[in-house]
Amino acid sequence: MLGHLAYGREQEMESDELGISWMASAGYDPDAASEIWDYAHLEAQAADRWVPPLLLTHPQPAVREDRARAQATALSAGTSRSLGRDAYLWQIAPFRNDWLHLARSGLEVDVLATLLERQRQIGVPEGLVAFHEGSMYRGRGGEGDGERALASFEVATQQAGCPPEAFRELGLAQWDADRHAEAKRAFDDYLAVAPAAPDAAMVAAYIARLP
Amino acid sequence: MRLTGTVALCVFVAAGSGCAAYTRVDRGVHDLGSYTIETPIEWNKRSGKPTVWTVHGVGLDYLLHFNAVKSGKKMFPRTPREMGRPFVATMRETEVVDLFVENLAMRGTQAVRLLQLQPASFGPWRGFSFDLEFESVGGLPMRGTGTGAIIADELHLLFYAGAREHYFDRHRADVQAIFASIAR
Repeated sequence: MLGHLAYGREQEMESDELGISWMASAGYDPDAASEIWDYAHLEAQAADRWVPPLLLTHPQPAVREDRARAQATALSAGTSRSLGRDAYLWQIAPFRNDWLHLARSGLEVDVLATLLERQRQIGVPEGLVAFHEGSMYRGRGGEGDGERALASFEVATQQAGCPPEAFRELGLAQWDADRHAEAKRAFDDYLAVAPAAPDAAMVAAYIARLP
Repeated sequence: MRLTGTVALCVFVAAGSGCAAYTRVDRGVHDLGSYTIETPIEWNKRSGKPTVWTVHGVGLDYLLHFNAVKSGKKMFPRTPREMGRPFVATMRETEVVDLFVENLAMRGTQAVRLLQLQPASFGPWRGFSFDLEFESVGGLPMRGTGTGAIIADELHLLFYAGAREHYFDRHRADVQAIFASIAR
């Protein structure tokens, strides 16, 4: 069985090498691969789950990062290539909110926090990042998370790129903090920004329920 | 030791066979603990958390019963420890539906879209109702409708889903009759 796992790791290494060489021959900068593994390494550290090296089905991210960097250095000598970064970010922008919703449902909080910080670093609109950060804290519900969520939603709703539901979530966080006038204002803002939202009737009921 | 091994083998075989035990649900009134419901049609029932009722098989239609989920517990108790959030009694209706949708997504359901969420009575209790569209794990377009309430800090939620083609509409009125029959 251990031999089978090692075989899986070798296959993964081979696929990394093939992918990087194809990427380079298609005109992309092969250095980007090591950055991916650098990030995967950060996520693995955040998850804090140790698996004995012999039982790993995939090579360690740090090993993949080192190998990718060495291969990219060899491939890049004397050439100039494009990352295609801006075109890629533009293409995925409409899907990012949905993807972050999915990430929130499937990732541990520490890993999600790492992912959101990464989004901030690569220039994702602060309104979107802060909204998901607030939702993450609110979902965790630990000590002080209510205040953290409220602060994040307040930042989100003052920024470009903020999804409408950030106003609804701000209202809920205000309500939890017994700031009823502010909660009503946030719910009103939500209904103004998204009058046809599928939960508009529910949010209108929240307003009626507020003391 | 031998007994443990035998039990483990039985569990393994039962799980591997894909044959969960179903029992028949007759027409009429059924006591679900905190409340009763009345069904105008027969169903096949698989007990568990949640309990599942189906007419034509779970790939085509199903009615999930989340019955008295306690605060701090997950809607699907078998969710891996590190994944998903529990239900919390202080959640409001939009958060409960978000939580339910997250749980569907974690189980491979795709493209979930909330069509409607509004206040609704759940028997004598203040509750909510909602409608969803989504694609099943296998990519079948589905439609769903649910109702729920938080009663004494416990979540009660009924959710019916069926293939958008034919099955959802076939039993939609029956399910609406069940939702309307909820009584203390």
